[in-house]
Amino acid sequence: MRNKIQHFAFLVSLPLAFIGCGKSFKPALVVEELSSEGSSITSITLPDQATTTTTVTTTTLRGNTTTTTITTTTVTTTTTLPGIPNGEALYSLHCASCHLSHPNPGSQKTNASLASINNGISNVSGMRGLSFLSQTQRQAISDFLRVDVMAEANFEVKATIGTRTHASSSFQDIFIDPNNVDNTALNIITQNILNQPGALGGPCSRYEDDCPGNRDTHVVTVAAGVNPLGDTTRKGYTSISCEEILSINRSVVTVLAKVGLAQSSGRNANNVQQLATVFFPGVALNSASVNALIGVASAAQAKAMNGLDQWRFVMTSMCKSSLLDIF
Amino acid sequence: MMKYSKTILVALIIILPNIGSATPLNNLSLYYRCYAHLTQERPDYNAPLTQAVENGTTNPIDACLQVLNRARFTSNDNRIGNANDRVAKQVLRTMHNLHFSFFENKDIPVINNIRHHRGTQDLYDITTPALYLTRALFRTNHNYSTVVTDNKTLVPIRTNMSPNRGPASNLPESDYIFTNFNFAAKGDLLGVRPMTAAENNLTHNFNGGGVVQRGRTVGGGLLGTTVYNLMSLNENDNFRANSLNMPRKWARAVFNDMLCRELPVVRNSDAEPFVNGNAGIEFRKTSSCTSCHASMDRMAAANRNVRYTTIGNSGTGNRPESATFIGWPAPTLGPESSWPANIDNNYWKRPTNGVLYYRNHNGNLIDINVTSVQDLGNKLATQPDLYICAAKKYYKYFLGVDVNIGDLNDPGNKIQMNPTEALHRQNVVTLGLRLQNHQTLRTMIQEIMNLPEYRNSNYTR
Repeated sequence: MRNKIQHFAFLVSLPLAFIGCGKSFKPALVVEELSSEGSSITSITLPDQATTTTTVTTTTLRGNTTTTTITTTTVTTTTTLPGIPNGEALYSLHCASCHLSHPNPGSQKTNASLASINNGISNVSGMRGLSFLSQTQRQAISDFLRVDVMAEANFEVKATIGTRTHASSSFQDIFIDPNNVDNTALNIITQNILNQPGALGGPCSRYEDDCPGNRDTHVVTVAAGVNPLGDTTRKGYTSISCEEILSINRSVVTVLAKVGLAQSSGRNANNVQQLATVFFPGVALNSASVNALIGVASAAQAKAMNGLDQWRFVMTSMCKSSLLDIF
Repeated sequence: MMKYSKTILVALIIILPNIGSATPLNNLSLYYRCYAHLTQERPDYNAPLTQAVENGTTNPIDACLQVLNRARFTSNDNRIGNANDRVAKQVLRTMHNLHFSFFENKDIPVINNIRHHRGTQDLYDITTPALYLTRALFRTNHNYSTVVTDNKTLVPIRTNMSPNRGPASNLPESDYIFTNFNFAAKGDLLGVRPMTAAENNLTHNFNGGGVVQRGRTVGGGLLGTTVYNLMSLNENDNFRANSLNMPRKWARAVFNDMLCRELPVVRNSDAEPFVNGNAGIEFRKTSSCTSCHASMDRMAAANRNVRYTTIGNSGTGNRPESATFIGWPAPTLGPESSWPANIDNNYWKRPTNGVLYYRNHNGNLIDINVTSVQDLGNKLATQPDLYICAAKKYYKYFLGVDVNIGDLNDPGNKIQMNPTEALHRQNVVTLGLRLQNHQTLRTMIQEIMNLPEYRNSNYTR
């Protein structure tokens, strides 16, 4: 909030537009100058959240005082989730005009603590107008300002899908026709994936009695920490399963049939995209990936392999992809 | 089946590039993701709900909430409505196992000997602490705070409430000193309910016979249950608190399980008032030691009267099988005047006065007197950090991001974050504060799934 030698009355109108969970909105801050030079704002009180009146007291340089009461519709702050302050938006709205944007190597406010913010608002003349900010809002600003020199590359995301149960379900969804079950393929999935809690993670319970081979073990590792970029042990088991299942002709035919293809179907972009939907529901492969897969089929064709084998190799590439880990 | 040379196979396989950084998933992919998180399975592509998502008539997150709702306790307010609903059971199982993974201790340690240990494992469902969270998630209008305020012992409702063999030992009932009893239930989880009086009172024929209560609790939700104490106490079977020996592991488990914190949870300066150079107890002489004990011991003081009760023969050659239980004898002496700096062999006989003492996520020092485990739970229920801890654990499961929610401004342990970490911490704090307000785990799951990070292929913004 700047001190100005002009007479201002602030009409703050922030629409209460609850759009829905998880959606944010930006307030429109309207500042309207009502009169000319010769006055300064001595105090302004803005409600913290959702109140309806604003009181502005102004004092002119000639010593006259006027008080204006303004009714606002609603007041709120930008939130990521409704009702809770967003530090980034608060900083942008109230601080960045003086203290630079954040992060900024030239900013001296990086890592400003709550205590220092409180001190500034209490003691720095240009900041006293921010006294309306609650402690929660000030803490949100402090949290936003926190930064260090750690490289972004050190930050690692570990997704949590891909336990033995999920992987088994995915492989059955891809390779098994529920109306005509291939028990050979199903046994491969059971032995290599479902019965491997130690390698793929996922719970096994003495109460559900589904721990392979060890009744005394109750291993709950639902958050398996499977890295979507590839986990060596896990990928080892699933890769072997891909190869073993796809070495069965019936498995190749079953997968093709799920999208209305046959072994004689052309290995073209449209059919490859169709096939990909069995492995990666909802995903549209980019042209580079599609062309690479067509290239795999062409390479197999060049080695005098038939259509079934060409599709086999395309599927093996898909099956071994880390794209299976994202859902 | 045709065999293919590995050489040809390797030569022809390509590695598809990952979908790319922060690529938004489309509706169908997003539904597959959230369905997988709720069930650890893929949805049936031909199911009406999947088709509704693909053709755009149903929002993927709304569809997943419908899946989550299938496991709601709509029958007698304590179990799923349809015991044959496979998806409902899978949701219930996945979320219950997730809740169990939140706890530091995953089984009952050997306290006495193998016969007591095996019996104890057969009588108790070790996922009992998680039942309090599962009940809060799937029971209508059931506040999250009940996890630390409920005064009932809960038991799972499973498809087989009277198994004829112990789930851990596979021994028959006839091998036990107990009569007219049930082992811990087995089979698919269907719901959660309070333990009945009949289940609680266990009759036995040891030394002329008697009754022991296996479902005792001193309240505080899961904190005061027999199972939680059996799993976290980890002491000798003749344990008595005397201010030097304290149920510290239990207190440490409470800090870890309910507040997501590892000791020390205060700053060195916070421990200074308790340093006593003349103390008979060594760890009271330095702030580096006292900084842990000031929090840990004074919380443990609320559970100071906990003790083991063993029924049955010890030794490896005796039959039949027996078990270890938990008891809390009532105080018989007056309170101490302050946290003792010397051994007090009567400490466990005094009133269970303790202190909740820690620096919260904002760096504020929390210093609250408690009078019992139940009171500890009631006070924890007023703390934002209880809810932020819950948010942190769910956040880690759904987004794979583990956030530090500790005191960032401890001069002795400065925690620094890059902007991405700071953003995730802010998300978790926000989610936790909202959970404290609405007290509904289901709502928090919905909010997490609606985060922009959840929609992106690599969970980043």
